[in-house]
Amino acid sequence: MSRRYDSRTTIFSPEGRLYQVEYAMEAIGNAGTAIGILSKDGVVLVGEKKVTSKLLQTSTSTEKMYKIDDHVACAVAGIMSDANILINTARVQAQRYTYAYQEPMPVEQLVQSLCDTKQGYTQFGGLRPFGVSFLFAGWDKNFGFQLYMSDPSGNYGGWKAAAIGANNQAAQSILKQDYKDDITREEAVQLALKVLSKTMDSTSLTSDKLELAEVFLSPSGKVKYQVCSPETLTKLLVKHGVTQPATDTA
Amino acid sequence: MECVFGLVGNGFAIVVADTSAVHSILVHKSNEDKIMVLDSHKLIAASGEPGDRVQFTEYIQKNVALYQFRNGIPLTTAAAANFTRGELATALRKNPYSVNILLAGYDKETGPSLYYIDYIASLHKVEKGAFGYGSYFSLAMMDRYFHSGMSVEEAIDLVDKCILEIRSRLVVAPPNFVIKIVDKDGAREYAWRESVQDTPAAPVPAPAPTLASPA
Repeated sequence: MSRRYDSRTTIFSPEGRLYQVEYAMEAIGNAGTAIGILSKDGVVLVGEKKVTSKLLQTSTSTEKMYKIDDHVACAVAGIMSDANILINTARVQAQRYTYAYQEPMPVEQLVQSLCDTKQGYTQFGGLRPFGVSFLFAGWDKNFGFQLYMSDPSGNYGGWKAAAIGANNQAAQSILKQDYKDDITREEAVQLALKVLSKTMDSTSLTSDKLELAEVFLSPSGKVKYQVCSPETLTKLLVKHGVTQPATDTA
Repeated sequence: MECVFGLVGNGFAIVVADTSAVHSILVHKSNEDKIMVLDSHKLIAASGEPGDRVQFTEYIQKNVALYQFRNGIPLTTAAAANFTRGELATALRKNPYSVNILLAGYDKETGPSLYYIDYIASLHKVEKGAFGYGSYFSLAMMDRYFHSGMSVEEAIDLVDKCILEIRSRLVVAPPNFVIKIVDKDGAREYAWRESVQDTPAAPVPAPAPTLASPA
Protein backbone atom coordinates (compact mmCIF):
# COMPACT_ATOMS: atom_id res chain seq x y z
CA MET A 1 0.00 0.00 0.00
CA SER A 2 2.78 2.41 0.84
CA ARG A 3 4.80 1.41 -2.22
CA ARG A 4 2.96 3.88 -4.39
CA TYR A 5 4.07 6.82 -2.33
CA ASP A 6 7.67 6.18 -1.64
CA SER A 7 9.43 6.60 -4.93
CA ARG A 8 8.92 10.34 -5.09
CA THR A 9 10.65 12.23 -2.30
CA THR A 10 8.47 15.26 -2.46
CA ILE A 11 5.05 13.85 -1.83
CA PHE A 12 3.26 12.79 1.32
CA SER A 13 1.74 9.37 1.83
CA PRO A 14 -1.94 9.16 2.78
CA GLU A 15 -0.88 8.72 6.39
CA GLY A 16 1.10 11.92 6.21
CA ARG A 17 4.57 10.39 6.07
CA LEU A 18 7.55 11.17 3.87
CA TYR A 19 8.80 7.72 3.07
CA GLN A 20 12.04 8.71 1.43
CA VAL A 21 13.05 10.68 4.48
CA GLU A 22 12.26 7.71 6.70
CA TYR A 23 14.20 5.37 4.43
CA ALA A 24 17.15 7.74 4.66
CA MET A 25 17.01 7.43 8.43
CA GLU A 26 16.98 3.66 8.02
CA ALA A 27 20.20 3.87 6.06
CA ILE A 28 21.77 5.74 8.94
CA GLY A 29 20.66 3.05 11.34
CA ASN A 30 23.21 0.75 9.75
CA ALA A 31 26.11 3.16 10.07
CA GLY A 32 28.66 3.39 12.85
CA THR A 33 27.45 4.94 16.09
CA ALA A 34 28.43 8.43 17.06
CA ILE A 35 27.87 9.92 20.50
CA GLY A 36 28.11 13.52 21.64
CA ILE A 37 28.16 14.76 25.22
CA LEU A 38 28.01 18.36 26.40
CA SER A 39 30.03 19.20 29.50
CA LYS A 40 30.74 22.35 31.47
CA ASP A 41 34.10 22.91 29.83
CA GLY A 42 33.73 21.34 26.43
CA VAL A 43 31.93 18.98 24.08
CA VAL A 44 33.03 15.41 23.50
CA LEU A 45 32.37 13.49 20.26
CA VAL A 46 33.03 9.77 19.96
CA GLY A 47 32.52 7.65 16.85
CA GLU A 48 32.66 3.98 15.99
CA LYS A 49 34.68 3.28 12.88
CA LYS A 50 33.22 0.73 10.51
CA VAL A 51 36.14 0.56 8.15
CA THR A 52 38.95 -1.04 10.10
CA SER A 53 41.59 -2.45 7.86
CA LYS A 54 45.30 -2.39 8.48
CA LEU A 55 45.69 -1.10 4.94
CA LEU A 56 43.75 2.09 5.66
CA GLN A 57 45.92 5.21 5.82
CA THR A 58 44.68 6.48 9.15
CA SER A 59 47.16 9.22 9.77
CA THR A 60 45.71 11.63 7.25
CA SER A 61 42.02 10.97 7.27
CA THR A 62 39.22 10.77 9.74
CA GLU A 63 36.10 8.77 9.11
CA LYS A 64 33.67 10.24 11.60
CA MET A 65 34.87 13.66 12.76
CA TYR A 66 35.22 16.78 10.68
CA LYS A 67 36.07 20.39 11.42
CA ILE A 68 33.60 22.86 9.96
CA ASP A 69 35.19 26.07 11.22
CA ASP A 70 37.65 26.99 13.95
CA HIS A 71 34.89 26.86 16.52
CA VAL A 72 32.59 24.09 15.20
CA ALA A 73 33.14 20.42 14.47
CA CYS A 74 30.83 17.55 13.64
CA ALA A 75 30.49 13.79 13.83
CA VAL A 76 28.67 11.99 11.02
CA ALA A 77 26.65 8.83 10.72
CA GLY A 78 25.40 7.55 7.40
CA ILE A 79 26.47 7.59 3.78
CA MET A 80 29.96 9.08 3.71
CA SER A 81 29.74 10.57 0.24
CA ASP A 82 26.54 12.41 1.17
CA ALA A 83 28.23 13.61 4.32
CA ASN A 84 31.13 15.08 2.36
CA ILE A 85 28.80 17.24 0.31
CA LEU A 86 27.02 18.54 3.36
CA ILE A 87 30.22 19.16 5.28
CA ASN A 88 31.50 21.22 2.39
CA THR A 89 28.23 23.15 2.29
CA ALA A 90 28.48 23.82 6.02
CA ARG A 91 32.06 25.03 5.63
CA VAL A 92 31.08 27.42 2.87
CA GLN A 93 28.15 28.75 4.89
CA ALA A 94 30.41 29.37 7.88
CA GLN A 95 32.95 31.26 5.77
CA ARG A 96 30.25 33.23 3.99
CA TYR A 97 28.99 34.44 7.35
CA THR A 98 32.48 35.40 8.48
CA TYR A 99 33.02 37.19 5.17
CA ALA A 100 29.93 39.32 5.74
CA TYR A 101 30.21 39.94 9.47
CA GLN A 102 33.91 39.37 10.29
CA GLU A 103 32.86 37.21 13.21
CA PRO A 104 32.49 33.45 13.68
CA MET A 105 29.03 32.16 12.79
CA PRO A 106 26.95 31.31 15.87
CA VAL A 107 26.69 27.53 16.12
CA GLU A 108 22.92 27.32 16.01
CA GLN A 109 22.76 29.52 12.93
CA LEU A 110 25.21 27.22 11.15
CA VAL A 111 23.19 24.15 12.08
CA GLN A 112 19.97 25.86 11.04
CA SER A 113 21.45 26.93 7.74
CA LEU A 114 22.61 23.41 6.92
CA CYS A 115 19.28 21.96 7.99
CA ASP A 116 17.50 24.41 5.69
CA THR A 117 19.57 22.95 2.86
CA LYS A 118 18.60 19.41 3.90
CA GLN A 119 14.94 20.39 4.10
CA GLY A 120 15.04 21.59 0.53
CA TYR A 121 15.73 18.05 -0.59
CA THR A 122 12.54 16.86 1.06
CA GLN A 123 10.29 19.38 -0.59
CA PHE A 124 11.43 20.24 -4.11
CA GLY A 125 13.80 19.27 -6.86
CA GLY A 126 12.89 15.61 -7.00
CA LEU A 127 16.27 14.60 -5.54
CA ARG A 128 16.57 12.11 -2.73
CA PRO A 129 17.35 13.33 0.78
CA PHE A 130 20.86 13.09 2.22
CA GLY A 131 21.43 9.87 4.13
CA VAL A 132 23.38 11.52 6.93
CA SER A 133 22.79 12.51 10.52
CA PHE A 134 25.11 14.94 12.24
CA LEU A 135 26.21 15.78 15.73
CA PHE A 136 27.51 19.35 15.76
CA ALA A 137 29.78 20.44 18.60
CA GLY A 138 30.86 24.04 18.93
CA TRP A 139 31.35 27.14 21.01
CA ASP A 140 30.22 30.71 20.50
CA LYS A 141 30.15 33.78 22.68
CA ASN A 142 26.37 33.87 22.92
CA PHE A 143 25.65 30.44 24.35
CA GLY A 144 29.02 28.88 25.12
CA PHE A 145 29.40 25.17 24.39
CA GLN A 146 26.60 23.59 22.42
CA LEU A 147 25.68 20.21 20.97
CA TYR A 148 23.16 19.81 18.14
CA MET A 149 21.80 16.75 16.39
CA SER A 150 20.31 16.89 12.90
CA ASP A 151 18.74 14.25 10.67
CA PRO A 152 17.84 13.84 6.97
CA SER A 153 14.49 15.58 7.38
CA GLY A 154 16.25 18.81 8.27
CA ASN A 155 15.02 18.78 11.86
CA TYR A 156 17.54 19.65 14.51
CA GLY A 157 17.64 20.00 18.26
CA GLY A 158 20.03 21.13 20.96
CA TRP A 159 21.09 18.31 23.24
CA LYS A 160 23.03 17.69 26.42
CA ALA A 161 23.89 14.21 25.17
CA ALA A 162 22.89 12.49 21.94
CA ALA A 163 23.60 9.44 19.81
CA ILE A 164 23.20 8.71 16.12
CA GLY A 165 23.81 5.67 13.95
CA ALA A 166 23.55 2.00 14.91
CA ASN A 167 22.03 1.23 18.32
CA ASN A 168 21.44 4.91 18.92
CA GLN A 169 18.32 4.24 20.95
CA ALA A 170 20.17 1.96 23.34
CA ALA A 171 22.96 4.52 23.61
CA GLN A 172 20.49 7.32 24.18
CA SER A 173 18.78 5.48 27.06
CA ILE A 174 22.10 4.77 28.80
CA LEU A 175 23.02 8.42 28.36
CA LYS A 176 19.72 9.47 29.86
CA GLN A 177 20.43 7.42 32.96
CA ASP A 178 24.03 8.36 33.48
CA TYR A 179 24.30 11.98 32.32
CA LYS A 180 24.63 14.62 35.01
CA ASP A 181 24.21 18.32 34.32
CA ASP A 182 27.51 19.45 35.80
CA ILE A 183 29.64 16.80 34.16
CA THR A 184 33.24 17.74 33.40
CA ARG A 185 34.95 17.10 30.07
CA GLU A 186 36.97 14.22 31.49
CA GLU A 187 33.88 12.58 32.93
CA ALA A 188 32.13 13.11 29.60
CA VAL A 189 34.93 11.28 27.79
CA GLN A 190 34.60 8.44 30.26
CA LEU A 191 30.83 8.29 29.86
CA ALA A 192 31.06 8.38 26.08
CA LEU A 193 33.54 5.52 25.96
CA LYS A 194 31.48 3.52 28.42
CA VAL A 195 28.28 3.96 26.44
CA LEU A 196 30.01 3.11 23.19
CA SER A 197 31.52 -0.04 24.65
CA LYS A 198 28.07 -1.19 25.72
CA THR A 199 26.39 -0.52 22.40
CA MET A 200 29.08 -1.63 20.01
CA ASP A 201 28.84 -5.08 18.59
CA SER A 202 32.47 -6.02 19.06
CA THR A 203 33.65 -7.59 22.28
CA SER A 204 36.42 -5.16 23.08
CA LEU A 205 37.26 -1.61 22.22
CA THR A 206 40.58 -0.80 20.69
CA SER A 207 41.78 2.55 19.51
CA ASP A 208 41.64 1.60 15.85
CA LYS A 209 37.88 1.09 16.07
CA LEU A 210 37.15 4.50 17.53
CA GLU A 211 37.57 8.17 16.94
CA LEU A 212 37.47 10.66 19.80
CA ALA A 213 37.39 14.42 19.42
CA GLU A 214 36.89 17.27 21.84
CA VAL A 215 35.90 20.91 21.48
CA PHE A 216 37.11 23.06 24.34
CA LEU A 217 38.71 26.40 25.20
CA SER A 218 42.47 26.70 25.47
CA PRO A 219 43.85 28.68 28.44
CA SER A 220 44.14 31.72 26.18
CA GLY A 221 40.42 31.58 25.43
CA LYS A 222 40.59 30.27 21.87
CA VAL A 223 38.35 27.41 20.77
CA LYS A 224 40.26 24.22 20.12
CA TYR A 225 39.15 21.14 18.25
CA GLN A 226 41.36 18.18 18.98
CA VAL A 227 41.18 14.65 17.64
CA CYS A 228 42.64 12.13 20.02
CA SER A 229 45.71 10.32 18.76
CA PRO A 230 45.58 6.50 18.72
CA GLU A 231 48.18 6.26 21.49
CA THR A 232 46.31 8.62 23.79
CA LEU A 233 43.08 6.86 22.96
CA THR A 234 44.49 3.47 23.91
CA LYS A 235 45.65 4.88 27.23
CA LEU A 236 42.23 6.35 27.87
CA LEU A 237 40.51 3.08 27.05
CA VAL A 238 42.69 1.21 29.48
CA LYS A 239 42.33 3.90 32.13
CA HIS A 240 38.54 3.79 32.03
CA GLY A 241 38.49 0.04 31.93
CA VAL A 242 36.58 -0.35 28.70
CA THR A 243 39.18 -2.26 26.81
CA GLN A 244 40.29 -5.79 27.34
CA PRO A 245 44.01 -5.94 26.64
CA ALA A 246 44.71 -9.03 24.54
CA THR A 247 46.96 -10.59 27.21
CA ASP A 248 44.26 -10.49 29.88
CA THR A 249 42.74 -13.91 29.21
CA ALA A 250 44.60 -15.87 31.84
CA MET B 1 27.73 71.05 2.60
CA GLU B 2 26.51 68.24 4.78
CA CYS B 3 28.35 67.88 8.06
CA VAL B 4 28.54 64.65 10.00
CA PHE B 5 31.00 63.95 12.79
CA GLY B 6 31.32 61.77 15.88
CA LEU B 7 33.53 60.63 18.72
CA VAL B 8 33.86 57.93 21.38
CA GLY B 9 33.92 58.82 25.07
CA ASN B 10 33.92 57.00 28.36
CA GLY B 11 31.22 54.38 27.98
CA PHE B 12 29.39 56.21 25.19
CA ALA B 13 29.63 57.36 21.59
CA ILE B 14 28.22 60.58 20.18
CA VAL B 15 27.35 61.41 16.58
CA VAL B 16 26.36 64.81 15.27
CA ALA B 17 24.76 65.67 11.93
CA ASP B 18 23.51 68.83 10.34
CA THR B 19 19.78 68.95 9.70
CA SER B 20 19.40 70.83 6.44
CA ALA B 21 17.82 69.18 3.41
CA VAL B 22 19.15 71.07 0.41
CA HIS B 23 18.37 70.95 -3.32
CA SER B 24 20.57 73.23 -5.43
CA ILE B 25 20.13 76.68 -3.89
CA LEU B 26 16.95 75.87 -1.99
CA VAL B 27 16.80 74.65 1.59
CA HIS B 28 13.79 72.35 1.70
CA LYS B 29 13.81 72.01 5.44
CA SER B 30 16.21 72.67 8.28
CA ASN B 31 15.11 69.95 10.68
CA GLU B 32 15.87 66.79 8.68
CA ASP B 33 17.08 64.02 11.00
CA LYS B 34 20.02 62.29 9.35
CA ILE B 35 20.90 60.07 12.28
CA MET B 36 18.93 56.86 12.19
CA VAL B 37 18.48 54.60 15.19
CA LEU B 38 19.64 51.29 13.76
CA ASP B 39 18.59 49.20 16.74
CA SER B 40 18.37 49.64 20.48
CA HIS B 41 22.12 50.29 20.81
CA LYS B 42 23.28 51.54 17.44
CA LEU B 43 23.15 54.79 15.51
CA ILE B 44 23.84 55.48 11.84
CA ALA B 45 24.72 59.05 10.92
CA ALA B 46 24.65 59.32 7.15
CA SER B 47 25.42 62.03 4.62
CA GLY B 48 25.19 62.05 0.85
CA GLU B 49 22.61 61.81 -1.91
CA PRO B 50 19.29 62.20 -0.11
CA GLY B 51 17.55 59.33 -1.91
CA ASP B 52 20.49 56.98 -1.47
CA ARG B 53 20.93 58.01 2.14
CA VAL B 54 17.41 57.07 3.18
CA GLN B 55 17.23 54.00 0.94
CA PHE B 56 20.50 52.54 2.08
CA THR B 57 20.19 53.24 5.80
CA GLU B 58 16.65 51.86 5.88
CA TYR B 59 17.87 48.76 4.02
CA ILE B 60 20.58 48.23 6.63
CA GLN B 61 18.16 48.92 9.46
CA LYS B 62 15.67 46.34 8.20
CA ASN B 63 18.36 43.72 7.66
CA VAL B 64 19.68 44.29 11.16
CA ALA B 65 16.16 43.86 12.51
CA LEU B 66 15.67 40.70 10.41
CA TYR B 67 18.83 39.19 11.83
CA GLN B 68 17.56 39.80 15.33
CA PHE B 69 14.16 38.27 14.58
CA ARG B 70 15.68 35.23 12.90
CA ASN B 71 18.38 34.52 15.44
CA GLY B 72 17.13 35.92 18.72
CA ILE B 73 20.32 37.87 19.30
CA PRO B 74 21.32 41.34 18.07
CA LEU B 75 24.29 41.93 15.81
CA THR B 76 27.36 43.42 17.44
CA THR B 77 28.38 46.88 16.28
CA ALA B 78 31.38 45.41 14.51
CA ALA B 79 29.26 42.84 12.69
CA ALA B 80 26.74 45.49 11.64
CA ALA B 81 29.54 47.75 10.41
CA ASN B 82 31.13 44.97 8.38
CA PHE B 83 27.77 43.98 6.94
CA THR B 84 27.11 47.59 5.94
CA ARG B 85 30.52 47.88 4.33
CA GLY B 86 29.93 44.63 2.47
CA GLU B 87 26.68 45.93 1.00
CA LEU B 88 28.36 49.13 -0.15
CA ALA B 89 31.20 47.12 -1.63
CA THR B 90 28.85 44.81 -3.54
CA ALA B 91 26.90 47.76 -4.94
CA LEU B 92 30.04 49.69 -5.75
CA ARG B 93 30.78 48.08 -9.08
CA LYS B 94 27.20 48.13 -10.27
CA ASN B 95 25.03 50.84 -8.74
CA PRO B 96 27.06 52.58 -6.06
CA TYR B 97 25.36 54.27 -3.16
CA SER B 98 26.61 57.83 -2.59
CA VAL B 99 26.35 57.61 1.18
CA ASN B 100 28.97 58.23 3.85
CA ILE B 101 28.28 56.69 7.22
CA LEU B 102 29.42 56.98 10.80
CA LEU B 103 28.11 53.96 12.69
CA ALA B 104 28.16 54.29 16.47
CA GLY B 105 27.19 51.52 18.83
CA TYR B 106 27.46 50.14 22.33
CA ASP B 107 28.06 46.45 23.05
CA LYS B 108 27.91 45.03 26.53
CA GLU B 109 31.13 43.07 26.12
CA THR B 110 33.23 45.64 24.29
CA GLY B 111 31.76 49.02 25.20
CA PRO B 112 31.26 51.93 22.80
CA SER B 113 32.66 51.96 19.26
CA LEU B 114 32.58 54.17 16.18
CA TYR B 115 33.03 53.05 12.57
CA TYR B 116 33.86 55.27 9.61
CA ILE B 117 32.40 53.85 6.38
CA ASP B 118 32.71 55.94 3.25
CA TYR B 119 30.83 55.66 -0.02
CA ILE B 120 33.49 53.49 -1.66
CA ALA B 121 33.25 50.99 1.17
CA SER B 122 36.29 51.83 3.25
CA LEU B 123 35.84 50.72 6.83
CA HIS B 124 37.80 52.04 9.77
CA LYS B 125 37.20 51.66 13.46
CA VAL B 126 37.94 55.11 14.87
CA GLU B 127 37.72 57.17 18.03
CA LYS B 128 36.74 60.29 16.12
CA GLY B 129 35.60 60.79 12.55
CA ALA B 130 33.93 63.26 10.23
CA PHE B 131 32.57 63.64 6.68
CA GLY B 132 31.93 66.56 4.37
CA TYR B 133 33.40 70.06 4.13
CA GLY B 134 32.69 70.48 7.81
CA SER B 135 35.21 67.73 8.50
CA TYR B 136 38.05 70.15 7.78
CA PHE B 137 36.97 72.11 10.81
CA SER B 138 35.56 69.46 13.11
CA LEU B 139 38.53 67.11 12.70
CA ALA B 140 40.90 69.97 13.42
CA MET B 141 39.03 70.83 16.61
CA MET B 142 38.87 67.20 17.65
CA ASP B 143 42.57 66.69 16.96
CA ARG B 144 43.26 69.63 19.26
CA TYR B 145 40.86 68.87 22.11
CA PHE B 146 39.95 65.16 21.98
CA HIS B 147 41.37 62.67 24.45
CA SER B 148 40.35 59.11 25.23
CA GLY B 149 37.70 58.53 27.85
CA MET B 150 36.05 61.95 27.83
CA SER B 151 32.96 62.45 29.95
CA VAL B 152 29.63 63.35 28.31
CA GLU B 153 30.01 66.99 29.39
CA GLU B 154 33.52 67.24 27.96
CA ALA B 155 32.40 65.57 24.74
CA ILE B 156 29.40 67.86 24.30
CA ASP B 157 31.67 70.82 24.94
CA LEU B 158 33.94 69.60 22.14
CA VAL B 159 30.91 69.03 19.88
CA ASP B 160 29.83 72.62 20.49
CA LYS B 161 33.32 73.87 19.67
CA CYS B 162 33.15 71.97 16.37
CA ILE B 163 29.72 73.33 15.56
CA LEU B 164 30.93 76.85 16.29
CA GLU B 165 33.88 76.43 13.93
CA ILE B 166 31.65 75.06 11.18
CA ARG B 167 29.15 77.87 11.60
CA SER B 168 31.72 80.59 11.58
CA ARG B 169 34.17 79.30 8.95
CA LEU B 170 32.19 77.29 6.38
CA VAL B 171 30.79 79.49 3.63
CA VAL B 172 27.36 77.85 3.37
CA ALA B 173 27.26 76.49 6.83
CA PRO B 174 24.17 74.55 7.90
CA PRO B 175 22.41 76.42 10.68
CA ASN B 176 21.07 73.51 12.72
CA PHE B 177 22.51 70.27 14.12
CA VAL B 178 21.19 67.22 15.93
CA ILE B 179 23.26 65.35 18.52
CA LYS B 180 22.56 61.71 19.37
CA ILE B 181 24.23 59.52 21.96
CA VAL B 182 24.52 55.76 22.48
CA ASP B 183 25.59 54.14 25.76
CA LYS B 184 24.67 51.21 27.94
CA ASP B 185 21.13 52.55 28.25
CA GLY B 186 20.62 52.64 24.52
CA ALA B 187 20.61 54.95 21.54
CA ARG B 188 18.73 58.21 21.84
CA GLU B 189 18.56 61.84 20.84
CA TYR B 190 20.65 64.04 23.07
CA ALA B 191 20.05 67.59 21.90
CA TRP B 192 19.51 69.96 18.98
CA ARG B 193 21.62 73.03 18.27
CA GLU B 194 19.43 75.40 16.31
CA SER B 195 20.31 78.87 15.12
CA VAL B 196 17.42 79.09 12.66
CA GLN B 197 14.04 77.87 13.63
CA ASP B 198 10.82 77.44 11.69
CA THR B 199 8.92 80.05 13.59
CA PRO B 200 5.16 79.83 13.18
CA ALA B 201 3.85 82.79 11.15
CA ALA B 202 2.86 85.63 13.49
CA PRO B 203 -0.93 86.13 13.41
CA VAL B 204 -1.85 89.12 11.27
CA PRO B 205 -3.70 91.57 13.53
CA ALA B 206 -7.15 92.64 12.47
CA PRO B 207 -7.09 96.04 10.70
CA ALA B 208 -7.83 98.98 13.07
CA PRO B 209 -11.17 100.65 12.52
CA THR B 210 -10.86 103.91 10.54
CA LEU B 211 -12.88 107.17 10.74
CA ALA B 212 -14.26 106.61 7.23
CA SER B 213 -16.12 103.40 8.12
CA PRO B 214 -19.89 103.77 7.89
CA ALA B 215 -21.68 104.19 11.19
